[in-house]
Amino acid sequence: MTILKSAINDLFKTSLFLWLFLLLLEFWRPGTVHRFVNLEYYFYFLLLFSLIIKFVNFSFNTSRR
Amino acid sequence: MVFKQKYFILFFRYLWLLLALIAIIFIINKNILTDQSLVYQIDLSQAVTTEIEGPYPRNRVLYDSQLNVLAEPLYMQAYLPGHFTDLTVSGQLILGEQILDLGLKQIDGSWQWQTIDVENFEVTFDLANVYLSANKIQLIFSWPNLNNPDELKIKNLQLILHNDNS
Repeated sequence: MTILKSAINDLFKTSLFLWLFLLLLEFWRPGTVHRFVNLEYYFYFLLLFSLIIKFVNFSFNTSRR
Repeated sequence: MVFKQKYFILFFRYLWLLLALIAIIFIINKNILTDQSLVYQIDLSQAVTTEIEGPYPRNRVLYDSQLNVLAEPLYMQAYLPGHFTDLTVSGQLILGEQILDLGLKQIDGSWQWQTIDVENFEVTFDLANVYLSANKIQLIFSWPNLNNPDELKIKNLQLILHNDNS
């Protein structure tokens, strides 16, 4: 369970920083990223992912008590 | 057990980083241009691809092995990954009695026009004052005196972007 929690947390952090990088790239050269990745939908995915992480962390901490 | 857990955690951490790096390299690679020219072979069956948007609106066309024009004008946008000096548009049309005016949008809002009255055509536009919206050029296909849309078909279309400044 610890491995799963760490893997999910790392995946979220990597996804978040990837989104930030792609956003800066899109600001620098408009159209570069948008034709491959819809950054808006990616952002909504990150929001849902963060909620899932909150739930996973809460369940994990509750089960350890 | 703790020893093995640590390596599993590191494995997944580096796996996500590797996947992110692959995504970044893929996107950057698709935007690096090493040649002096770039050719877009337009897939008329697709409304939107990664490089080309159009011809649209799609309710003005009907695709069945070639693009049948139902109404005019039609628009198209093409992505420019770098700097180019001229654009050559070539293709095959079925015009009937019609004449096609092909336009490229300029910075000042006007259009640079080319008139096409032959079915196998090739026209060149100068990109010096082209209008770019998110690094995309805008084309317009206009049949000003359209009276019989059943005659109009686009069989194939190609865009060639060229950079003379080597």
